[in-house]
Amino acid sequence: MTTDTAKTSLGLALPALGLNAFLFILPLGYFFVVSFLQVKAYQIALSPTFGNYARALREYPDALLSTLGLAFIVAILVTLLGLAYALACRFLKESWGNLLLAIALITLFGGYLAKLYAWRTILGGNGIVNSGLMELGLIGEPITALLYNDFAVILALTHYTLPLAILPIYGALKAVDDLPIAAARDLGASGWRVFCDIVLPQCAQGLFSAFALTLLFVAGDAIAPRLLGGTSSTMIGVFIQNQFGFRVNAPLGSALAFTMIAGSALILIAVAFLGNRALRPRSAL
Amino acid sequence: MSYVAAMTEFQPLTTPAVRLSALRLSFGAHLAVDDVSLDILPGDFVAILGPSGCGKTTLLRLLGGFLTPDQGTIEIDGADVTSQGPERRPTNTVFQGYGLFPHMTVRQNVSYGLKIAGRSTPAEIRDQVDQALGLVRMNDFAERNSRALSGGQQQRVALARALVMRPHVLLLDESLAALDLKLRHQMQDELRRIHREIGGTFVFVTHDQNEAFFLANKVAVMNKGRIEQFAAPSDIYHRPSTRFVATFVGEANVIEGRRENGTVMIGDGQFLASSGPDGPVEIMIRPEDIRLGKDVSGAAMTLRATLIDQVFQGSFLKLTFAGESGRHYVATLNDEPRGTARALGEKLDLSWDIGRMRVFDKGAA
Repeated sequence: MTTDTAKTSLGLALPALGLNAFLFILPLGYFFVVSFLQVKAYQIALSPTFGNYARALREYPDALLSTLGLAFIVAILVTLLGLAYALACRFLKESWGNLLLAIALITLFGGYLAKLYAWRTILGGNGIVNSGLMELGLIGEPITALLYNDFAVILALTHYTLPLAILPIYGALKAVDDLPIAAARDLGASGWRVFCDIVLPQCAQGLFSAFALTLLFVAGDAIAPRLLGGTSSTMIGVFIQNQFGFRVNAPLGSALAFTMIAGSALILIAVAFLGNRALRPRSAL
Repeated sequence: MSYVAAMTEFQPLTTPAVRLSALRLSFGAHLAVDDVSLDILPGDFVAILGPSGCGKTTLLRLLGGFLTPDQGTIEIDGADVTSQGPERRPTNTVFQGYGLFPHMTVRQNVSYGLKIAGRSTPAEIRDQVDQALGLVRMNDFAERNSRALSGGQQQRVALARALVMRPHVLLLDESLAALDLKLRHQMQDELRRIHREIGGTFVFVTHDQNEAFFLANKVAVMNKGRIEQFAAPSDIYHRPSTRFVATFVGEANVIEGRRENGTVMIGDGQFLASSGPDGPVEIMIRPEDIRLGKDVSGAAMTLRATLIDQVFQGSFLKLTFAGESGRHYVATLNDEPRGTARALGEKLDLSWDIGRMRVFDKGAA
């Protein structure tokens, strides 16, 4: 690359870099610095400490781990469901595939809160599920176990993130050419082998994007657990929100957030590594 | 030799490698393959030749198992494979777009089929893959990523990937169409050499008459979903069975005429004895069969015409004449002495052997 073209591409990248720095790197950097400070008399004091991270790991290990676990479960669920849905969009007859895709996109119009309240209505004591079952005479009184627990949170978060996850997977599948698939069948591969050997490796990036998107969204969410979750296992997002809110401890909140980011990053690195190993074409030797 | 040829032509001693019986396939209202029957003998190199949209690629995809016919059967080595998918057929296809696995190296591409088959040890697979890559002269590229190859190289890898499976029938779908002219000629030479070296039955789809004649010992000319003629290249060229074949393959003068009581009036003062029903006919004569000068033997036709155009094309000279009726005749001469000059507007005698003409009933299929 000549210096001229290098200059041009830098010039072209500048607006994006600037936007990124302003909206993403600056605020994150600010809270990263804050996570090493202390609060004295409701004011942030400039005395550096690792104490916030120590407290985060000492006082919130359960919330951190259960949140990561829940995020992992939702991310796996959503990636698998998203893959199945995107496969249908890609490989069904064109008009049907496009219809499915359009349906997935339309559901994005529903707001997050609207969807959470919808689940409350559906799963609640007077909700559709309970009244339906009672109408049918299958149950005598409403099942209260449907709402205010991890099940409800997982259900609602899976529902909300699924269309977002379908898009990168569908994009990756769209880029998988028909010819190599035909060639693999021609060489004797069954449908399952074609899927494992040809389709999956070529859409690995899309799957990873969907997984990461979902994992990070769920790991940072504070609303679904508040509206649908139980009191026994609260997700870390709620604690972080509290620290920034009425506890007035932004340094501890920041430390919790960065601990969560580090945990999520570890999961993503592990998944990328294992996925890469599993999908790499094996040589004949 | 001719005796043996006659024997095999009328009474095949071997099971055909491929037998298509009354195949029919339509896409909606469009009849893509219309009542196609064809016997391909083991060792044949068959070209399916036709204009785009004639159904030749559809026919090849039926053979490979990528499409299922609405009617008719496909037999390979005597076994009915009509309902089998491509993964179960003893055929392998070299696709027009190659279809290499982009996430694999050349070696992984070529060994994929053998691994799936699971009949060979890794060492055997390695040997066979090396052999196949050697056949297409791609040994040096074995560990390259398939994405990092040029079109011609991808073509060779796709060929090796199919050949390594030792298919009973190798199918090639316009495989050379995407290559530039020089590379295409080179690959045509390679294909001939490979067919000579390993034998086997090859079926090749092309819209290029030169390619078909260069490669194949039998050519099936297709038009509108039907096979118009299936014969050796020289028969296709010299004894075309329909007007379509006559004009699609090579250059042809087509003269309209009318047959009455066994005589065809051609116009320009000529007539020809030809048996058949009364009605309009078309007569074909190849440009290179037209000579200059009178021929008064009874076996030739002679007429006088005006030279209206001449084009020098290197190895031959192309002359266009107008007869007295205004009809045009194109003649090509390749034995002209150098420096011969003719003036446009000159009146000359043209002649050709009656035996070189072909008469087609107009309106007949």
